Amino acid sequence: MGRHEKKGRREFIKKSVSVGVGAGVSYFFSNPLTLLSRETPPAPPDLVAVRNGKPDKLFNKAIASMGGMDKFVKKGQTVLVKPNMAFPKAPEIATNTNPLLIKTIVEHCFAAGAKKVYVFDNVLEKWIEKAEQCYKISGIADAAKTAGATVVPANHHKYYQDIKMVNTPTIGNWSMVHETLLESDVFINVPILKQHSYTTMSCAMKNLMGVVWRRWHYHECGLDNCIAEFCQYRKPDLNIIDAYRVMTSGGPYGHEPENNQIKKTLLISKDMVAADAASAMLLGHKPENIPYIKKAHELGVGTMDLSALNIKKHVLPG
Amino acid sequence: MRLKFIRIAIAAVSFICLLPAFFCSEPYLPFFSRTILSLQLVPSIYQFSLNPFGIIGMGFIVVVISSFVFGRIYCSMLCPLGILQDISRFFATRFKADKKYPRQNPPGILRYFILALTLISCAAGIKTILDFLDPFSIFSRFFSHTFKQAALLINNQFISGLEFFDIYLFFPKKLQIAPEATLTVTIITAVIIILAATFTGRFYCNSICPVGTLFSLISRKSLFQFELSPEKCKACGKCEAVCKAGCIDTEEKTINMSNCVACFNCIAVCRHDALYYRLTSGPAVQHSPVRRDFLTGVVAFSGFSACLPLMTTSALNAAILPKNKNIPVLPPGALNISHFNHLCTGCHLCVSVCRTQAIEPAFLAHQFSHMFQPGLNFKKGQCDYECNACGNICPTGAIKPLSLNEKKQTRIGKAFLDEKRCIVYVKNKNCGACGEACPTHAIVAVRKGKTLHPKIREDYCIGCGACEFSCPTSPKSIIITGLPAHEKASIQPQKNVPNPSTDINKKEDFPF
Repeated sequence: MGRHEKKGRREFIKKSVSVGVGAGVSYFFSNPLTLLSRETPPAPPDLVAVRNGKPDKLFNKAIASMGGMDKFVKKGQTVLVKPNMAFPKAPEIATNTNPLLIKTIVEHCFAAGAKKVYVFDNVLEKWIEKAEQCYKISGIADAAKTAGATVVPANHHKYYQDIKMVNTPTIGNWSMVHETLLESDVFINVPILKQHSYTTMSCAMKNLMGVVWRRWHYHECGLDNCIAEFCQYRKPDLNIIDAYRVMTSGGPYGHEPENNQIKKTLLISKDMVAADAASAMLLGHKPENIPYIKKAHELGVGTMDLSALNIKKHVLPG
Repeated sequence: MRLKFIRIAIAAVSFICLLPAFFCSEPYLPFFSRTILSLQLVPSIYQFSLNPFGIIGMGFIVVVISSFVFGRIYCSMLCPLGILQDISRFFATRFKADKKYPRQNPPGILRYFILALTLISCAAGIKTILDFLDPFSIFSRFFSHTFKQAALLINNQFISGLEFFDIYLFFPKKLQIAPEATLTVTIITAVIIILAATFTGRFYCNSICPVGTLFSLISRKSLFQFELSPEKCKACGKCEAVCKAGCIDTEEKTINMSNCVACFNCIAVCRHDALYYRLTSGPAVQHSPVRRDFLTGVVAFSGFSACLPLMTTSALNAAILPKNKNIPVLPPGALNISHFNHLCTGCHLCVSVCRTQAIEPAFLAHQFSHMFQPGLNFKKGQCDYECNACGNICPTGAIKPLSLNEKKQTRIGKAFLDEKRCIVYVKNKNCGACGEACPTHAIVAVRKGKTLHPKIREDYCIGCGACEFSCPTSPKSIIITGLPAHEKASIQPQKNVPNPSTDINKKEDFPF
């Protein structure tokens, strides 16, 4: 062997070993635990925002960005999809959640293996003719049923069960929640973003008012505090904000249908405070100026500081 | 036999056709229900007095003409109280062996005294006796507060059963239990009448009911008469045993047509072909002189129809109204308190149809001379903005039927906010329950610091009670007060806003 060949072989060995070590080290650093255990998937983003599409397309993109619905719904589970359909208004008025969005979400749940999907809302005006109208005129009952969901009534106290509440000084130490909330493994909160004449805006946290029976109790004791405090009871596994059509005045009922903006936007987050904070900014407000967002942040329900979050934004081609 | 079957068939049809009126909650009543309703005598006379040229008020004329021809067929085939008595008797005979009515004494002059008192008091402007004794109203109140609630109870139980299996095809309907005074008086009155009918025959119809008495004056000389053939009658007594009015005398071979309610039980049971129902040919076989009674009947009916319009201008009734009494809130279409008081018989059909149960079947919401007349109680429910069912169902015209747009502009009361009780003003906390429920946007939010304060714009308030009903404080911080006369409210001007603005600027980033 000549000196030239010895050098070449050494070089080759050095290079291949260093490449091998480099590959191993980088592999190790990118996924250290993979050497020791099974693969763990990366954590979903804190907030996903998608724009410029129809509600079903927006949701498909957003949920893919979150890692897929099967991250949140496992096979055989019972899911509660809770829209806002508290008023007898058609989708164009933007009082209630978009029915196409609900339909898409329910379809995703079943595709991920859900055994049962419940849909309901505790409507504002509870006599049966009006409650039926809310479910029907919003288009959500039909859309949900088409996708296979079980749409259940919520306009009578017999559908609710007593629960204990802790750390809720304004609400008190008990409340009543819909029986399906206690039955469901997965809780998906699907509000519509809109202006609210008495709380400035209505979004993810306000939407939880529709799972309790004693809504008037909130009004009696201090609406903002009650909204924030109740969010400690059971945090939704997913909050999907419908900002496709946004009511900018005359909320929550929407007697003036002309005040809508088509924003074609959808947000998803596991953190309802973050979702509400981002939604507040969509409406042109600072999150800390919305009393219940600030209170929920103080209680530790979530964070309204969006700068600290991992936010993924997408704009669809349209 | 065939005549009795025809009577039962017609009675069954008219009873069943009437029932939807009690279970309806929409402004659209099936035409067959509306027909039977317009053929009820007393409500129809009220409609006639309100509008003599309207078609709705013609119902009683049809019935009166039919009684001149056929006798008291109203009592057996149209009057729901009469039919209810017959139904009760039918079930009682299933359980009791004895199908015979006991020997009945002919009714005395009590019924004529009651009729005279009714007519005289109506002329003086007091319709209390008429309203209390009207057989349709007695039935209507009784059915609404007992049988209807029982039916809803069974319905709800059935639905609960289905819900256990996750079947949500049907929806339960809330029961409405009337206040104690209403319930007591209604039930006791009806039960006395029905028990009497079950055991002794048509006691109420022939001894008290002014409608029955009026018809009895006419039926003496109706074109069709019941006749007993002296030759064929063997005095077996079978017909007397089934006669619910005690009008057959097989010894004297006479039939008292003034008591006969045209049920045809007698003809059905006669084995000797001795009983007939036919156009009178021979000399009349009657107790009292014919012409006098016929004229009395005509005069009575004319007087009756003429009296009612007098009531609307009666000074005596106006004098009875206490000066300081709170005027109850009246349903939209009632126009004013005088119109409502003078036409409402307290039948409670509006109570039944009201889907929010805002119309309360109180006993004395108005003064004693207007017992059973209802008013709205916004602690029980609000007046649904999108509903005009009460005016559509009212059989007397006390609540005028309004179109939905008219109703939405009708002010039935005024809202007042008590700033000493309202949470927002007192505790400086956001509430908004009244504002978010107000359908006319009469309540607006005024920002004072961190809280949004409700403020009422009176021009747009229609007094529907949505605010009072949703107010969470106890006692309420916002209440509706009644108006002696309904007013016309303003409506929000339509904003001239272009189509919803689209906000898709691809270059514009999200604000966060």
